[in-house]
Amino acid sequence: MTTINTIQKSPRPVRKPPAVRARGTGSVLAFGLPLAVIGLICLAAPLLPLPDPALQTLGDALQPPVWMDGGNWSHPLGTDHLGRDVLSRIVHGGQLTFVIAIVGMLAGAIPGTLAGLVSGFYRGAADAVISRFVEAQLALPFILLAIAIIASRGRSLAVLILVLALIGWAQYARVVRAETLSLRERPFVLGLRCAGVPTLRILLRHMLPNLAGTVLVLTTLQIGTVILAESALSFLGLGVVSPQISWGAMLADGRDQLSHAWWVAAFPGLAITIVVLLVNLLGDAMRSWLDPKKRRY
Amino acid sequence: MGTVLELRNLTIEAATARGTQVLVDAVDLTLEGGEILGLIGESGSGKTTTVRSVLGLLDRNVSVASGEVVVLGEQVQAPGRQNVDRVRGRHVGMVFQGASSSLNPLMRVRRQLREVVRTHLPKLSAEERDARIAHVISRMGFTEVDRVLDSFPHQLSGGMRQRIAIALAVVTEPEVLITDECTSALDVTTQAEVVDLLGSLTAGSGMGTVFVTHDLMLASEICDRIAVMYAGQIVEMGTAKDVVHRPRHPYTRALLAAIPSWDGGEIKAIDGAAPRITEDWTGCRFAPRCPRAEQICTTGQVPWVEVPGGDHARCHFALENDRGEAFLPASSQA
Amino acid sequence: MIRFLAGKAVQGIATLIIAVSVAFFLARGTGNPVREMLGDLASAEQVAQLNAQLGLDRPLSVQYLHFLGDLVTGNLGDSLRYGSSNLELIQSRLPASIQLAAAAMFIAVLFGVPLGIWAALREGRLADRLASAVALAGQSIPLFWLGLMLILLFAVGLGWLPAGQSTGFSSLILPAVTLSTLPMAQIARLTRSSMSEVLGEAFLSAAQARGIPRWRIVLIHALQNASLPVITIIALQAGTLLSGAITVEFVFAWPGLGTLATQAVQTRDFSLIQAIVVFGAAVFVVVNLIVDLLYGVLDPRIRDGVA
Repeated sequence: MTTINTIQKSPRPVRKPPAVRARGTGSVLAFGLPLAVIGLICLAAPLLPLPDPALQTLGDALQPPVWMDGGNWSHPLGTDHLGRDVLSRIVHGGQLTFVIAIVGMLAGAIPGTLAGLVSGFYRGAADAVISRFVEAQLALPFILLAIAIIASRGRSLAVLILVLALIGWAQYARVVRAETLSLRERPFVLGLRCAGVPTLRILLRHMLPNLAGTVLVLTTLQIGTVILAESALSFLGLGVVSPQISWGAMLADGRDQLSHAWWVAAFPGLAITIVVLLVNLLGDAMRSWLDPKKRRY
Repeated sequence: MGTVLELRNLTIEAATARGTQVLVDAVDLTLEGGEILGLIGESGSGKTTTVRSVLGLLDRNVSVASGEVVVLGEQVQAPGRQNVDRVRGRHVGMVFQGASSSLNPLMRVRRQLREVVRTHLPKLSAEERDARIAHVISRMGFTEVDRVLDSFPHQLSGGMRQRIAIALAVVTEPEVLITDECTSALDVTTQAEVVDLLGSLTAGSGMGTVFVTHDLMLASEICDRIAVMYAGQIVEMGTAKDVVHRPRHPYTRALLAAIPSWDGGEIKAIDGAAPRITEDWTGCRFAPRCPRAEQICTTGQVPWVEVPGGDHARCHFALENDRGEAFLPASSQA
Repeated sequence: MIRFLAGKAVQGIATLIIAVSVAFFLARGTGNPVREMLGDLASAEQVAQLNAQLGLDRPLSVQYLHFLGDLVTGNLGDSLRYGSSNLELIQSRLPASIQLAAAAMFIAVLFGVPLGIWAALREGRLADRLASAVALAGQSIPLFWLGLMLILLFAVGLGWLPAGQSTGFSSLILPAVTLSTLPMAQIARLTRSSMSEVLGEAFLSAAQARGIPRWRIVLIHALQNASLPVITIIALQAGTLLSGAITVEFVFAWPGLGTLATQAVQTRDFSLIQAIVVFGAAVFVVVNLIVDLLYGVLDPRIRDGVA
């Protein structure tokens, strides 16, 4: 048997685990790259040869996209009821959409992760209190809560970010708490504690890096949620309002033109769908990349 | 009593990333009604694959490459052909290792039994069906029949669950019962109960039982005949008494030497591990670990040697012991 | 089991109190709705007068205690706009919301569960990937936009279905289909993962060895064991749809709770908004309790406290 073993153990490295990993990397790139390109295009909007998104040319109002009768290349995706270029507004609106998504996501991720870490690591009273708050947060219908806050505080970007942070933090807290609970029982953490390493150091230097994968995946998926939430609020007139542009706000404008100028509402919605779908695919790909065993979920 | 199960030249292969692996190689077995046949081997020897093929429960990448399985004279498995639906549960019952995991945890015992009876004996009236179920439960040694039937699996002990699993396998009165390591997860007392139960179910009935285990001593207690498997082949077959008392194959002897005995004898583990068998393997599978191996063992086919007394062993030296001395004729030994 | 449920009920009440308190302080503690109600042009006297009228000039703690005290007696306050009790307003809109949520959940379960089972049975193959992609798309589409596009296609373009208002069965179809998208996607994904886990369990191959027909193994034994997480998501989604269908109700002008809430925002009726938030949180807590109860009913191991 030993001879057989040595024959099989050729100097070439075992190739199987890296193969699984490589496939994960492939799909992370496949979804991440287009997303990055879309993001860069939106950020570079002022540099692109696009008409001013706010420029109203009433004579050009409600022009259809280029492939329809009456459309032309000066407005490839048509114009809205004020004659503003739809393509230019989508690209410029993407800026605010992305910025709000990322800031809103971070505003939820940081307190949520810390709350989950504390709750899972210390357990006991801290856990009981935090868990109840998490559950309370999840019990509040998000848009209703947003409406309640916005109705008394008025609309502003700060309020919008606060509202978006509120939908996110509980998710992080819940997931990070569960991960921390299992992580703290692992031998290396026990070892660190026996060695007298200060708790704060264990938390920040040893637990947090081990949670990074989970948080990264959640963060990615959460960007999609935040984009959808922002667009819903803006659509209801509670988020971004004129003259600022976001995709959700464009949809609100487009709704009134639906029966005679479908393109005004169709394209911003398509942009949201594509970006959120890419974000979700990226999140799923990252999850299976970081942990091939959990691929199925 | 007639032959109820036959495996003829059965070869089973697995398609793996590293090529074709032979899991079961040209196995010939027959099972008579009323007998218990022990199938012995360490994990990975192919014994579980062999019996699972009888019911067509092989993994997706595993298939019958040649030979056939015959139940009650009818072919149920052959290369590219599978006809197991008719016999599953009706003519062949099977009991698995770990009874807790072979019962639906969300269904009462009664419903699980009724489902089996209704599937295979649809013509029975509701009264006949329930009478049969109550009967089989009391045969399993339960006294509080209704309490057991109204229980969920988690409300019963491990031994009770294993007896329920046996009840589920025999309630249709099959001609073949296959038990795969069905006592391994049980404590010794419970194990004895289950083994006694299998003995009483089989003896004098028309049903033959295949008792798959890695425990040679346990097998010798209840089996009529024993087949020893190693690396996909049957290496020795004979009456339980002969296999345990006059082992003809070095592997069987090694297995017996590895059993701790209460007289304080030395326990000898077998060095090395069973090889992975590919199609181009030549010679005896046990040769790399065999104390008796010689040049001849690593080339060509190993003969299936009949020894005086009727037993068989797959060994060039089946008529000698590990020191190379010839066995005395069986008659003069006893 | 009773003690288990009693514990859950206490937890639920605590959750509810925290939830409504959070909502109260977030909404009232951070700003004064009167400013929003009257606009920037209002004089200081007008603001002070309305403040006094609504009791908003009292200290926040006093307002909070009043608010909690009213809740305990089941009083959700009166609408500033309609003058009638908030509870009555909610009750008058509830049937429309229930109708829409029930229709949407019916569609979601009808398609989501079979899609999930189908994907699990073909795990890793093309059909599975296809089903996963469909589910993921369902989670990525903004529902109100999907609603607009469906109106465009079926109401404006083809003229088959009405675009809005509750005017009988045909007007229910588009909003229900739109609203079903997200729960359908979630149900499909969860059914798939739960089923694929159960399908690997030993008791199913044991059932196969007993000759149980394949359809029974999949649809009875496996589905039964995979159903708990699926039922949970169904219940939670149903609860959310009741008060969370705001954008879809808005798009289709559906006269339910969501539209009531958007109208309340437009009229700055913060009392009514607050009442709807409390109602939504209460529904969530009650649904959670029902789920806990269902667990005990469906899984004898939970009932016996062994799992």
